Amino acid sequence: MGMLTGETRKLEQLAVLHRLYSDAPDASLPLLLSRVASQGALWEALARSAQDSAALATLSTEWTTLFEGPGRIAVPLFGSVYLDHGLLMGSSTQEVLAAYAKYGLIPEGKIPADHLAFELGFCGFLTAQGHVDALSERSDFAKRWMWSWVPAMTEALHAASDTPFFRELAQLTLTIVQHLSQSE
Amino acid sequence: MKEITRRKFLVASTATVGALSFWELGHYALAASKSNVTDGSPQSAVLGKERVIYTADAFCASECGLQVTTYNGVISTIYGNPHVPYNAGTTCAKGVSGKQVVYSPYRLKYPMIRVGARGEGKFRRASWEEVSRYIATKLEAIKQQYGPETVIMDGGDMTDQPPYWRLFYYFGSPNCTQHGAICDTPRRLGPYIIEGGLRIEPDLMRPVLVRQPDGSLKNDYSYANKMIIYVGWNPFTATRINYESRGTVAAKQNGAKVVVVDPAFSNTAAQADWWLPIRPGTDADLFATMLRYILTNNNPQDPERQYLDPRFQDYSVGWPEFETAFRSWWTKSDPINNLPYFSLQWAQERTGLAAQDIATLAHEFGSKKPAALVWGMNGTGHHFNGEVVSTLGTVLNVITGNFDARGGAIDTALVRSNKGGNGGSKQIKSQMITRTVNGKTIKGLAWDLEMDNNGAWPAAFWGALGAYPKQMSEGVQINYGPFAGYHYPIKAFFVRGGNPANSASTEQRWAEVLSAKDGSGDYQIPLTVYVDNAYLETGLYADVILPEASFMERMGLSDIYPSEPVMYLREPVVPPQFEAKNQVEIMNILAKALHDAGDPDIQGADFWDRYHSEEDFWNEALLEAPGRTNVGEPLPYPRYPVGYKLLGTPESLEKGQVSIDHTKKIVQGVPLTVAWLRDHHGVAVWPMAWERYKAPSGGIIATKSGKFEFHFGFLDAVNKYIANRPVPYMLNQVGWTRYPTTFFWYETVWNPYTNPAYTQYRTQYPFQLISGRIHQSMSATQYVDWLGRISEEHLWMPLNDAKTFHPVVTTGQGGEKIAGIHHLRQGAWSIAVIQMNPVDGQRLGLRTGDLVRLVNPLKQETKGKVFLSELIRPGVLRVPPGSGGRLTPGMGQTYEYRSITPSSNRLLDPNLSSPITGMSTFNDMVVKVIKI
Repeated sequence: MGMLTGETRKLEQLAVLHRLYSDAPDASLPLLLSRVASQGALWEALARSAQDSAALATLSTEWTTLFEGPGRIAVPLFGSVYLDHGLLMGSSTQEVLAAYAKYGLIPEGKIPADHLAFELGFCGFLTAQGHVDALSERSDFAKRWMWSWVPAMTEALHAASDTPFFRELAQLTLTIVQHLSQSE
Repeated sequence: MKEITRRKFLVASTATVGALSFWELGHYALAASKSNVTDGSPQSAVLGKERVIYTADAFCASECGLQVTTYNGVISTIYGNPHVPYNAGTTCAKGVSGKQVVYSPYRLKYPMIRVGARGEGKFRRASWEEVSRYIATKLEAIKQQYGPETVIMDGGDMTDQPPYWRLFYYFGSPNCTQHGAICDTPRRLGPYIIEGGLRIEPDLMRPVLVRQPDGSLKNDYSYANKMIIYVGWNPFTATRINYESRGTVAAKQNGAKVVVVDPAFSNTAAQADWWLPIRPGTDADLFATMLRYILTNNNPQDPERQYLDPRFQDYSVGWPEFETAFRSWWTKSDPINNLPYFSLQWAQERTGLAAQDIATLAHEFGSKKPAALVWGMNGTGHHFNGEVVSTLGTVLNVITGNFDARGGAIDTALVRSNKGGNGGSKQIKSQMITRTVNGKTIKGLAWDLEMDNNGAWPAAFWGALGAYPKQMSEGVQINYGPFAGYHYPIKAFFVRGGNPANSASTEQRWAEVLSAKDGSGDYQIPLTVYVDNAYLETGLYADVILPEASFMERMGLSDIYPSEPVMYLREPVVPPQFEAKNQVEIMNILAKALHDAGDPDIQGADFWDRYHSEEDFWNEALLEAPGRTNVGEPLPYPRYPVGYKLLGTPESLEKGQVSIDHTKKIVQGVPLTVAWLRDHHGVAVWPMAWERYKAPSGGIIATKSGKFEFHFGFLDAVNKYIANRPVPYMLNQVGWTRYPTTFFWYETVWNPYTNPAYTQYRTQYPFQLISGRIHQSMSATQYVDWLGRISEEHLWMPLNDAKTFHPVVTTGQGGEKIAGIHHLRQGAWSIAVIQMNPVDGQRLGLRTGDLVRLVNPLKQETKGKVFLSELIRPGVLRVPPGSGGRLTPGMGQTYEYRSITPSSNRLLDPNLSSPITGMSTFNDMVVKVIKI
């Protein structure tokens, strides 16, 4: 299939963002970020923040505390927490699941479908389809099911952490999701 | 999930690896939808439909039957199961909060391994494979170096513990315990030593299934009760026994007199005919005086004073000995008031109740039959001398003929259905081991190393969990049995569904021992594991956290405190979310890891090859149901011999689909199974009867003699076991050298009104501090925020300060969003408060909302806001137990208010536990109040 102009770059960015919200930072992160560092000031800043290997362990612990717990995490990464009164598996989760199902996709495992990493992956999938309808679907999806809560999440992240890495991640995420949600 | 290393991912490309794209990789992989979609999984939501599932709560120990509807695979509505007579379709706020538990974004989701110091709360995510290997490697090293007995398994308070116990009993540790050990064991002692049961409750569960004169079985909704006395027991708020709240109202409407004896005007007192605001810690005084009054004034010739059941001695042993011992105190003078023990005037001085009121209460209890005298968990079980209370209370119910009488008092432990014996205790009680003791090789059973009964607590029939910090710190000294003289350390602590660091005894003590280090800087207890779906204080000290399936995601059995045998199913409503696993899965995973680590005691035939699913495990447990004998009036099954044990489904027993073994005296019907329960609204109910202890061929009494024992055979046997060996240290504390075998008396502690040793504190520490249970806001339940928000009984009140927990988030459109971020107005959220009588408040110049310090004579303190209330007796302060000063961020808003909410568990005397049962002394302390 033929990729539209600029979409390869976007796909790469989505892959890195997906990784950033899937696992805590580890030794592989600097190399990964170095590949996208040239794609804008925000990427460059993020890559720079992750270069210090001594800081990676601290980033990793903070990442877990912010996003995975244990306990009352400051920054839930599930859409329904923001859209359905603070709980998982709300009606918005089902809507998201329905959007995946339309393309024959379903999340593996037992993590609710509206985790940001799934949603970024879905956007990646649509991007890789390489045709206008898919890109249109991508912007509809991002606008309805990501832009509706990601700004709240990124503000929470910005507020919950003084670490440049996470503040930059918040800004970057906001920018990318905003861009995704704009009509193609 | 597709396995791929991150390195490979990087080497290949950023967005694709071989044939796989990034969205097909890792924890958050999207796959073609035909892969492994199971009905009810989160991912099947769009494919689902409406389903009704009958299950059982386990968010609190009431375990009400529930009827849950799922829509599109997601929990939709929760009601009580109308087919379970225990709660008969009703349920409380906790029961309907299952959705908030399962779908909480703050639940424990993944296995985690500690990366910071214990107590810091820093963890990293790990796989089940990694954590099970980590645990198994450490456990095997501990087993090799120190022995399996150095591992403690605490099964907690979320029921369904047997899979964990099975694992650790097979591993070789005899030290498996559960929350019951720190719940209210003094309250259970009397029933245990006199009739072999545990918990006496009024005959209030309705409906009950009763054999009719025409031979049919019908539900009976009638109430025969004439009097119910609740002492330190508040079923209208602490809804542990679901049927007691609605049953009490119904019985009262039917003419029963309801009396509440409590320092607080509780919700139950508000429904009573008579409230007696007793001084804390003097319930034994009241009971002893009632007993003296009844024995003195009983007159078989006077219809108004026929207090004693003329036949109770036919079913008992040792009464003359007990009565003689009891009467011998009547001529003694109490040093604190120079009055004869148990006289009305003596009781008035000590309890603060009027002598005439005590006489009236005794007279009415003795003459209004049927009656039930019921004593509570916090009110009596948490006092040092709660053992005296429960013993006298049981005596009063038995000698007046109210025990198991229709409308009287039922020991629910004696009549509930059996839940089976696959918890592994048979294994540990038959395994022979050797240890070197004082240079000699000694053989014995692994069970002989059990830390309580062979150590400091030989009579603690339910374990002495509250005293564990002492053993954790000093090691276990085995004083009795074949291994007497052996000493071993505690090297691992595995906690599941419990929170001892907050609620087992002195909080500071638990924090100390769980984070104590040895001379080399290593933790003295090298392995701590925490299993739960909520992140509570004990989790702060864990090396490994394992996410357990919540009660809506796992299977189990419930049979809580019924008047007749009832068994109902905890059916998984949805599969475990995230990476949580049910307890049978966890048992098997850890068993396999131990086996792979070379443990010869763990074999597939006992675990993963025997139980392929949780249903296999619980089906085996159900083979023992109901396991009760065919006794009582009306006889449950007239077609079967009296006194034979009944096994099998209600249906098969009713239809005669049975085989009868006359040698073993067993009527075996079709075994009960999970599938049968599933097909019958989730519940099996067998017939009710009364007078079940009277069957000549053997009744329900579970003492060795089969009779009420006023000469305590159990304690007699313990005395023989410990003869010529060191006296347990807490016996010394009350001046005994052996356990009492008939009437006994000792004073409670830290009570300047009854115990001369503490009168010195009366002036400087003028308040008695007690706790009052708020059932929707217990140690764990507060993590559902809306439960914590509900105000209750002037103990849990909206005295919060305005607070922003995380900055307010505004969306792109300008609205506010909940994002783990919350702004609370002042007075909008309920928190634990210190309940104080306005008379005391006025004297101290305090107003509602003032922040104060409570300081005890041991120089320990806690902070909280005062709530002035007429509901409490002057001179007494009441706080909710385990509800303030919460240290874990797993607790939500309660955590945010930790610096202004009181924790009475910080003010306990860490060296005190009740002398027979080893129960923490939660409710005896004096404090002074200092305004901040």
